[in-house]
Amino acid sequence: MSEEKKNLLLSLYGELDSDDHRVDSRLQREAEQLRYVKFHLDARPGVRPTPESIEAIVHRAAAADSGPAGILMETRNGGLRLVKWAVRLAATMLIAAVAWIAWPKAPDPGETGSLLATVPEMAPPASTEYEPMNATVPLAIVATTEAPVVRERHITPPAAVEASPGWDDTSELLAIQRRLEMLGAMEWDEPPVPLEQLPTRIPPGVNRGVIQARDQ
Amino acid sequence: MHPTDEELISAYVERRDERAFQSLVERHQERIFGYLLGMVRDYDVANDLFQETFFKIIAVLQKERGRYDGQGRFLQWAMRIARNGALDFLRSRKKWVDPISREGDESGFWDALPDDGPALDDRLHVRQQWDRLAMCIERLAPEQREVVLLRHEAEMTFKEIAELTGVSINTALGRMRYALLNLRRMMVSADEENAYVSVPDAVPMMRPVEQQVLR
Repeated sequence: MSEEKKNLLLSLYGELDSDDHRVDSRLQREAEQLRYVKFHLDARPGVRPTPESIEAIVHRAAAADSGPAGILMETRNGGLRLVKWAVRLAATMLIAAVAWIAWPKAPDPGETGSLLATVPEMAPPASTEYEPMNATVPLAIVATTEAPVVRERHITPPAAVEASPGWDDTSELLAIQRRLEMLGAMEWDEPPVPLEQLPTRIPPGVNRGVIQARDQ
Repeated sequence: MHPTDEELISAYVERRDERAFQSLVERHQERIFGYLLGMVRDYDVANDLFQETFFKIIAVLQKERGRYDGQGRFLQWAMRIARNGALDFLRSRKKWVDPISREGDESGFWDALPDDGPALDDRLHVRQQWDRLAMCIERLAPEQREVVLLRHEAEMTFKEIAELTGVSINTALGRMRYALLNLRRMMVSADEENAYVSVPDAVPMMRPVEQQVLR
């Protein structure tokens, strides 16, 4: 195609770079023909797809939101829902616990009025005599057997405490003190020894370990 | 002020703004759909291809902004996807000869076409001419029809058309020139004879694609 015809077409469509839009006299006829057709082509109304097509595309675009970023948003929403659910559950449990504690319990008719009376029997005063324990008895068993006694002592009426401080024996306190001193004198690499196996008296010439400030 | 294509795409990709994507679709619907309808000449098929085009666009935008490099070229990118869909459809129906495969012979083909036509007749009503013009466009050679559609429906420049179709700008201009001249001749003939199928057989553009001689 000649340069003149090329420029004619470019000029017709407004794509000619130069400002020279003069048409060669030999191409006047062709210019008219091209302009005529272009006029009718430009006058054609636009055609559009059906609204259903647009709707389907937009729907697909929305559905595609469950892609990577969509999944992220979904995860965030899911996490938020989980936190809300956990808070609700915790609040419900707290309310239930408070209600259970605060609710007045109906006492058993058989036990009514006898609780305080049985306390002295359930919690006899501890012996003030030192009883060396059998080292083969596990400490857990000892603790289990003695635990009820300790609990019952807490509910002992104050009058009983004032009346009998017999357990406050200095000899037992001294034994405990000596055991502690023996523990302080032990080395780190020594095998563990039950507390009951430790002697209550310090043999002469044994390292006393750390000496407390009041003893120095 | 209207947002640019890139702003709409960013709003959709980064903020999941579906309305932004809808605006993008509606902004370019006539260009893309007009091209597709002119190519396949079937309203339902054009609708399907239109949807497929944007489904692919959505898929690409969702995975990666990837093959769309922005820079104000969304329409060109979308038209490439639409064109591939249209050509696949036409090839499946064996109604398309790939213009690229005919590179090198176009000068002889175009030179064989007559240059001038009957005198202008201004009495045709515009409305009637739209329908007649549509029929005439359908009867153009595929590569001519495509350039007309890309220029008038998609509103692409000849440089963009050349890039999209993989030919030189001179080739694109040559196809456009002959398309316009052939259209004019068909329009005038149709008016004179009150019939739309009266174009002489000797004009290569009127032959079915399968009968065109490849040199």
